[in-house]
Formats: sequence, C-alpha cells, structure tokens
Amino acid sequence: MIAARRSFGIVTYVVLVVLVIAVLLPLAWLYLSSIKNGVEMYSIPPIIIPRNPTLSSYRQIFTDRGFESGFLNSVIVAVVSTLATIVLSCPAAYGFSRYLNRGGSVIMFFVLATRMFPPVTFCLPFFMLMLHLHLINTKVGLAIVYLSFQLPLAIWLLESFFREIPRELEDAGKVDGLSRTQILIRLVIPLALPGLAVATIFSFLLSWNEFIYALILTRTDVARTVPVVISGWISVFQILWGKMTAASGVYVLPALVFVSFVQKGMLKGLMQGGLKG
Amino acid sequence: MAAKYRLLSDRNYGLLLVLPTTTVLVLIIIFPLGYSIYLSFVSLDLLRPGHGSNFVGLLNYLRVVTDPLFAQSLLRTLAFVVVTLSFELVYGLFVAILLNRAVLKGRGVFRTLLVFPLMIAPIVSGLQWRWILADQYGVLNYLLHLVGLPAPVWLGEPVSAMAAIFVANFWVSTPFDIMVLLAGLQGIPDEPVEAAIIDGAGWFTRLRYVTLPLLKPAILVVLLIRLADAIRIFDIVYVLTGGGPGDSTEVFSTYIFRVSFTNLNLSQGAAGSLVMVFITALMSFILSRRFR
Repeated sequence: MIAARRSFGIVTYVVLVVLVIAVLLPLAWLYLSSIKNGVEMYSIPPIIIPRNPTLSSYRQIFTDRGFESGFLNSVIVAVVSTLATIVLSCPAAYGFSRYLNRGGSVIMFFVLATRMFPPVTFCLPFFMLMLHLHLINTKVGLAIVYLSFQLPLAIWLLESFFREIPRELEDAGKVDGLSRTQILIRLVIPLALPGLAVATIFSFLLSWNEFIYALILTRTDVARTVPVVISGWISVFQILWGKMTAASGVYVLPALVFVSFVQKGMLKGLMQGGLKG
Repeated sequence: MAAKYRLLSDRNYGLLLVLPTTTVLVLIIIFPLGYSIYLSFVSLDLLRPGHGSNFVGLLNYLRVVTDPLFAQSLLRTLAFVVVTLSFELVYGLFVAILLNRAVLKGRGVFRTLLVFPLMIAPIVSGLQWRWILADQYGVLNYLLHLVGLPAPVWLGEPVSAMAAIFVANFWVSTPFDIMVLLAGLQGIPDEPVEAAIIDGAGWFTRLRYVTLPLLKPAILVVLLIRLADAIRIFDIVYVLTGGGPGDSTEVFSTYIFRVSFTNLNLSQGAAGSLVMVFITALMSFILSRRFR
C-alpha cells in the first residue's frame, strides 16, 4: 500500500516534469533561435543549440526602423491607458462595492457584459469614431480605445478587493470625523493596494498584448505598437526569423516578469472577480 | 452628527463616484455599438462612394447569412470553441489535480512554470508555432523525421492548419484554466472529501460526486471566460495561417475583418459582427443556465 502510494507520487512528479518541459520548450526554442546567426537559423537539419551564439538579431531589430518606435509606442499607450484606467476605475469600483445595491448591480452587470463583445465588432465603429476625432494613427486614440476593455476588467477586479475591506474600519474613520472621500483616500485605498497592483498589471498587459484595434487604428511608426510592427514582417515569401524571434523575445519579457512575480495576487484577483460574477 | 453637513445621501455619493466612469464607458462602448447597429441597417459601401446611406432593412443580415463563407466560418469557429474548451477543461483539471496533491513538494515552482505563458501575447504564440511548424527548417518536422514519422506541411493542409491554431491557442490559454481550477480546488474544504474516504469511495467516485460538484463555480468561470475568448480568436489565426490555405481556417473574427476592411463592405461587416455578438451572448447564457 505504502509502496503503491510512493510510486504514485513519483508518477506525479514525472508527469509534472514532462508537462513543464512541454510548456517551456516552445519558448526556449524561440530564444535559442533568436541568438543564432543567419546560417544556423536556416540550416537543415536544424541546429538545436547554437554553436556560435550571437546578438546580431537583437542589434538588428534596434537598428532597423520600426521595432524601437513600436516598443516606445507600446510603452506609452500601455502606461497612459493603464493610468487612466486606474484613476477612473478606483472610485467607480468603490462606489459599486460600498454605496450602490440593486441599481448598482444593474450597472455592474452591463459593465461586465461588455467583456462578452468580440473586439472585431468594435473595429469599424472605433475606426469611424477616431476618423471623425482626427485621432487615427495616434497613441492617444489607441489609449482611449483601450479603455473600453481595460475599464470593465479593472472595475471587476477592484470591486471584489474593496468588498473585502471591513466596514468597521470605515465606521471608525467616520467616528474620527473623516469625510467619505477622506475615508476612501486615506483608509480604503492603502488597504486595497495589493488589489490595485493586480488591476494595474492586468490592465497594462491587456494593453501591451492588444493587436486587432492597433492593426486597424495605426499605420505609421508614429503610433504602431509592437504586435503590429512584428506582424507586418510576415510576408508570403519569407519571414526573417532572426528578427522575428528576437523581437518576440523582447516583446514578451514584461509578461514573463509579471507572471513570475505576482502570480499569487493575480490568482486571488481572478478568483474573487470570477466566482462572484 | 456627521451626516448634517453632508450635501449628498450615501446613495447619491455612490452614484457620484460611479458616474464619470460609467459615462466614459457609455461613450466608448454604447456609442460604437449603436453605430454598428445603425450601419447594419443601412447600405454603406466605401467601394461605391456617393451612394449615400439609405435604410435597407434586414438586407445586410440576409446577405451575411446567405454568404457561404459566413456559414463556414461560423461552423468552424463553433467547432473550434467546443473542441478547445473541452480539451482545455480536461487538461486544466488534470494539471490542477496533480498540483493540488497533498504529497507534492515544490508546488509553487511547478505552478509557476506550468502557467508561464499566462500573459504572453497571442500573436507571439502564433508566430512561435509558425516557426516550430515550418515545413523545411521547422524543428518539429525534424524531430518527427528522427523518430521515423512523416513530416507534413502543417500550414499547407486545412486540417493540420486548424490543428496548428488549436495548439498555439492551447499553449497560451491553458495557464488560465490551471490557475482558476487550482484555486477552486484549494478552496474546497477537506471534510466532504474525508467523509467520502471513510465511506469507502474510490478516487474516481470522490472526483465525480464530491470534488467536481464543489468545483462547479470555478469550472463555470473557466468556461464563460474562455468561451468569450475562444469565439473571438483572431490574433493567432492572423499571424499563423492568415485564414489559409485558401479560406480553410477562416474563423468568425477574421471573416468579419475581411468583409469590413479588405472588401470594405462596412454594412455587411457590421451585420455580421452583430450576429456574432448575439451568438456569443446566447452561448454564455445557455452555459450559465445549465450550470446554475
């Protein structure tokens, strides 16, 4: 019995290790490819471990036009839209969680229902809207459009974090003569900082990863973001895989860093937000 | 009392907090939606300028629904959603159960590594698999060759191209399933499971009659969120197959994208996308009903 249990445990480890390798290999291949020189890149049969590792692909993406400006655009759009999201969603989420009951939950439902709309639905109207506002091919225009999916998610996450804060604390603040706004700023927000961090990171990465709106709404280096720049390198006849893998490798770094460090907080946010809805 | 100098009741104060954001959301969601609905009922064709925009009733909807490409992309997308969600759920549950085993040491490390692709952009997943599956210098075909298996032209055949989309999506999506299901499992109290053990229930019986029913809320979250994501799949298809070969991997989003922005048939595109919204809403509704 005990022997059977132990072997069962070993099987678990073996299966998990195999799965980890299967999950990480594609990414490892991407990075391995990004440090190959042109000859090793396209050798048949493929060379698994590069014999002459080189950073030339990385040098190339930063000297050729497109990627560097795309990277800056991605950063600016993500930072601006995320800041706006947090500033706008904090009071709203708090209002929903603390002051509004039935009427609030109706509005809340609509906020959440917007998550169901496929983005392709909005491509056309956003395109027309930005055309009329003269915001086509601008970072501002893109950041505004990104609010449409960042805001619902941030409100969804933050509302559940605010709800966890004990009401007694706010009552104590009231007794001490704090106004409602002071209670929000001085007592509630500091306590909800972990939740704010989760909402900020999620919003940032949503903006960072967004593709279809950027594809429609930007066309030159002034506003094109990384995914649009990279996808523009695809051509029917050939793809420069050195550039492609290096650019992808740089582009996914924020996602990898965040996932490694804030996984627990993300998990909590997902669960709280999710199970309630 | 403090309430004396308050101009607003608590309720109105709450409304005041909520109002600015709600206004922004109405402007950037309801307005575009309204515009889409308007477009879908008029005839607006950028290829025929000066044509004006006149009310045409349900003509655009009729055109979309009778377009054979529409029906094909719709069916393909629905099949993709069903297959993807089933596989993701089974795999997610399997991994979550493994990670949740009491004897497991280093759970945190395993979890971090298994959900590593969690926030990676879908287009990178698409590109990365395009590179792995490349027919001549692709690493997968090389490995298949090593073990003596045939090396197909993955993106050149309809079925294998669809399979490639499935794999690229699976790789980047399952971390979410694992995370939510694991959290769900960890939230299940020990008592019911222990009671079942005392009653002599085997592993499978416990899973079927104790664990899964208690896991329902987490499973519903996974299904609803992944349904909405899978039905809108675009990025991966765009960079991996571009809808090809031919239009054999055209999905709903790429179809509407092409009608609207390549054929510039805006009204028909709007009608198609509203049909898509309707189908998404209907499926989510049915799903949440069946689970409650």
